[in-house]
Amino acid sequence: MSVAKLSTKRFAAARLLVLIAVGIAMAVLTRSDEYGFVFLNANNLLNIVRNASILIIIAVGQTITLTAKDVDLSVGSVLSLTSVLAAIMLKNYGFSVPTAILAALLAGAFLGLINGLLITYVGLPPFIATYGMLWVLFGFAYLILRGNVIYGFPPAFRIIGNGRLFGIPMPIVVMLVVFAVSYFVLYYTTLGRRFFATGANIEMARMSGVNVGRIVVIAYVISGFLAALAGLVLIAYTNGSEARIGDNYLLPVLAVVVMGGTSLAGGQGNLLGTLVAALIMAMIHNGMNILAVPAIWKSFVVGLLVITAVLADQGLRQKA
Amino acid sequence: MIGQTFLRRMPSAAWVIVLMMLVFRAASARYLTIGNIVNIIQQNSILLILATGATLVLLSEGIDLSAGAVLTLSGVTCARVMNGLMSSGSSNGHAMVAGVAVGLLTGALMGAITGGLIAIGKLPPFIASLGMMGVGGSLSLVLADSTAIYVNNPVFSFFGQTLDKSIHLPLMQYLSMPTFIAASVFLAIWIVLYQTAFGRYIVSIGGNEQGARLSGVNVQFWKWMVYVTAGILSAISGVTLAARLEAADSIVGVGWEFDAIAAAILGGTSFAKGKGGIAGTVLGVLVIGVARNGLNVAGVPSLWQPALMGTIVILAIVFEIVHSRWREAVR
Amino acid sequence: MAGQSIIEARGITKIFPGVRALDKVDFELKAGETHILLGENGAGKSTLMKILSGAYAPDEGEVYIDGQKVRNFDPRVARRMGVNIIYQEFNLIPYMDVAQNIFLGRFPRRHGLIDHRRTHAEAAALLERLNMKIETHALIADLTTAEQQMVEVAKALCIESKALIMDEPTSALSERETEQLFATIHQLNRQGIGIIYISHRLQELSQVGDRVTVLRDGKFVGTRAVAGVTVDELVGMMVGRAVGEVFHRNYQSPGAECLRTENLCKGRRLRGVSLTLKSGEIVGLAGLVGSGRTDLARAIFGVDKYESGKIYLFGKEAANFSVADMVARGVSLIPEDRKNQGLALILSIAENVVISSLNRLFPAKFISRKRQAEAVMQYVEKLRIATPSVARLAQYLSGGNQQKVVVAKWLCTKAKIFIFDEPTRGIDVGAKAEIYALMDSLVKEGAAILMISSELPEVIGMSDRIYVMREGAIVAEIPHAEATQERVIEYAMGAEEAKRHQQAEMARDN
Repeated sequence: MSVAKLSTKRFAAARLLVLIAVGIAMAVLTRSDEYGFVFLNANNLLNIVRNASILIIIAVGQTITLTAKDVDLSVGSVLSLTSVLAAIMLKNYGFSVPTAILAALLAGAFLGLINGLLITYVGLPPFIATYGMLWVLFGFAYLILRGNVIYGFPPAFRIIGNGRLFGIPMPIVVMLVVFAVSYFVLYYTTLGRRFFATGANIEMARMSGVNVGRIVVIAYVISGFLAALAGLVLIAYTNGSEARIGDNYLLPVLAVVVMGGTSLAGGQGNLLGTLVAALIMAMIHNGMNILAVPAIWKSFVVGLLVITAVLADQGLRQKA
Repeated sequence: MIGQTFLRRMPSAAWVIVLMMLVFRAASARYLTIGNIVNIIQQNSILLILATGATLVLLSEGIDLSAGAVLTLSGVTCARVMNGLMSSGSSNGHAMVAGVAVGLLTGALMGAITGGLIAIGKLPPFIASLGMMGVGGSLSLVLADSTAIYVNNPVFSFFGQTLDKSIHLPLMQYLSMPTFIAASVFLAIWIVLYQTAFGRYIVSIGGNEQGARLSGVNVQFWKWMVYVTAGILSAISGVTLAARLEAADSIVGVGWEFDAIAAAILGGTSFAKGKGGIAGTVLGVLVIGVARNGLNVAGVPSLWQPALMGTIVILAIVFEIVHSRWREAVR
Repeated sequence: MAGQSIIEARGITKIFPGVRALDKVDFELKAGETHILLGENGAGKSTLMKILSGAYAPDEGEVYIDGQKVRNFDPRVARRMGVNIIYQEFNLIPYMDVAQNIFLGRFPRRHGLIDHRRTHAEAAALLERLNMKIETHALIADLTTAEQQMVEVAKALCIESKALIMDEPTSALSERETEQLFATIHQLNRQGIGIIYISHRLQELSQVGDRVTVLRDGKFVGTRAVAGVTVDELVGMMVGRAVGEVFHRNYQSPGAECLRTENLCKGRRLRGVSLTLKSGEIVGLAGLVGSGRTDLARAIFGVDKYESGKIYLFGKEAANFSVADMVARGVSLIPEDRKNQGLALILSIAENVVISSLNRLFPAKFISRKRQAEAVMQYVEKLRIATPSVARLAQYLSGGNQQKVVVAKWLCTKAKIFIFDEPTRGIDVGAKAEIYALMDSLVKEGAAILMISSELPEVIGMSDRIYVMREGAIVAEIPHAEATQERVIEYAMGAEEAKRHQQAEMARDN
């Protein structure tokens, strides 16, 4: 782990406190006379973690690109496009489940590759490159599915969304595996170390023999791959796919990553922080759902959260 | 003098347009008719206004991803105020003036907040404007109940239509109010950029912020002003669009900022160092307009259009960047 | 008016953590004169300039402008009082034209809009007065460095100026451009403007200076009239520092050739550099800032591409190599700018040390914290890096310890060839001695070191041989036995040229 300096530990503790505080707040706010603390219902809590899982899988990818370089704004569209691809392969063309899954994952990796190349070899700033990809990929997702929804996937596929392993819902299992692997790679392998070095000081990394171009590309490939994986789990769970399915994930992912302590400046990836922040976000979402807050206010809240999180992060860094 | 520098710096966009026109001409004989060309100009006038704002922001080394959301929101606030006033008895004219004023104010306010986050809060522009995009998008949905607000105000609609709707003379169908508005806005911004100190400050902040500060420029204030201006320009686009559609849709502007920024980049404005200007932006808008129109005329199904448009734009941007880098190297 | 004192500094002392940059320095600039400030790297010239222009405040001493003592002196006040400084990084806006750059923040207006006609007219008049042939409509980005510098000068002078401070203005200029600059300077002097001119080039003195002041180790050595002083006298004033450090070098006969360059060229920065490095020796690379030494190091290490020439490592030619290739072959570069190029400040000591040796230490790609700690502790002990733990972030270490971490990084790669670029800059005496001892033991074990240094005692005390570079080429190779500070400075500053020039002038006058 990139050094547990005291203030990072302090923030981690603060984050856990916020998690508990938000949890209590949500529980209280959503208390109803009829049903009591619905929020704390075991099923509801499971729901929260399950919803958080999708977010976490994508956010892990974002944490990695931010560690090595900068943002990846295309994740929502990558999720949409790759899951649409899998959906039509399964439903309209009758491909086997493994093939469809493989195709989606490879597509995600490939799209990440394009992002990486645009950034390292064409020299586009990451926010422009990935933002452009966001729209292009949306165009393709729309092309394939237009406004339609595909639903009803074969059980062999659905299992990755609504199956259980030792009683734990599959999305959570996938998330735990992704998290564990990423944690290991980022903090315990030479590749992960190179991500940190490149993000912390790209000039120094280059002068120390790190192939920085390749490292950045790999980071974006991983992000694309994970976005695709999240998409597969999502459509398996909801049993449906549509072109805009990934749209609502970009802002929450960014909010979560920043709240989790990963710096927008690079070189400071905080996976655990991302996890905790995602749980906080999922709790807030869940609470809003129970309170029947109209969907349109949700992106307002998320937008506000992103801004607040970055402002706070900026402010705290100035003081440190 | 200006012409000489312009020619030497002619962005690759010019060649891209010519290339596309040849391709589309081959695909359809309808392509190079006057009617079609006028069509392209009219369809993209509103984009030009937005792209002008994007150019200013890029010149200051920033970016405004909220432009589309501000466009939408301004149209919505304008429409609601107008409808509200009209239903309580105001004349069409008065309602329109009030509505437009509110719309412009909306844009100015959104821009002021975004600019504040960036200039004072020191947030990276992309995230500040991305957050505001979310906020603005939500507000539009809320204020318009997730649907469209129809406006029945002939005075208002006049500003969004071609002149033949009100002046029944030949050739009037070739003149449209949005184009006049776009031309006026463009002229106004041209004056601001090249004839006022504000315009020079924008370029200096993007070109060498430290140098600008040491020369006595109030960098924080003027950086903020750029975003306020961009917000107002987005609002003008939104209000004009609402006039044209005779309705304010709650999601109409989604994605327009991408076209606007792309148009600016294709027009030769770089995302660093304050290089470029609004003259090229016209070319950039034309690239996008020609591409979209060409796809239509060539009979490409509308399903394919967003995907193809996005791909064409990205390829054009890559080409422009590589080309400009080559131009710098051989200098 | 001419001859009046414009700027006067009395008893200026400035202390930075660990170093006394200026020690009771006196300085005076008179109207209409060009006063040259001469001294080695680190003599205190830049610091004095920053104090005279208001960028730094002195810890002791006073500054007087036009005879008045200044209080609350800062750059804006300085400008208002007519004192302008031109740094080596320009404050110009690349995509704006010359006239607009000059008048940025001060545009002449008409009805609220910029009056372009007047802006260009006044800019043209200003440039004309300064004898500069630059188009007011030209974009800064299209100008050469020399022209940009002229615009900076014009910009500095567009408000009433009394004094102009120029920091090494000719370092990027060609001969012809230098002459143009000198013509401008003479013009300004005639108008009564005083100029302080920092330079390293001895041959320029007689062309442009009226008086010259020499600083050495932050102390004022003396002021002379340029007309009467000889080159030898100046060199003598600049060097002759009491050598406080004792260098223990165990000289040995060098072994096999490790590194050889043949005719390395890169534009004007490297003009056919050929040198050799053998195992067991420390070769010093002396020269002034800008002479091309760092460019050479970067070209050898693979950081920058060079245009022509060859590089041989252990007898085999190296071509199309990346930094990683060089590292794999046992070459290392300890850069001049340790904070931005040598370390990642937000990473820990351990992470910094192992970054170039990841493949060697962890062949299975898995980073075991234990193995990492063992490897790192080895070097922490060997180099005596002062830190409670290797998990400490690099940004919290002192300069000396930071440098040790960088060295540790390369020791960890088991390098055989070390290129040190200014190894002891900004480091306290104790750490310096340790680094010297380390270098000696490295070459004793068979490594080879190329040491770029601007500290004369260090170069002379540590090197088996010294190459002196000037303006992109190697102008001398001095064996240890014949190395003196005077000789090095003479070659570095082109003294023989300056002497020839002086002799030619004397011959002409007779």
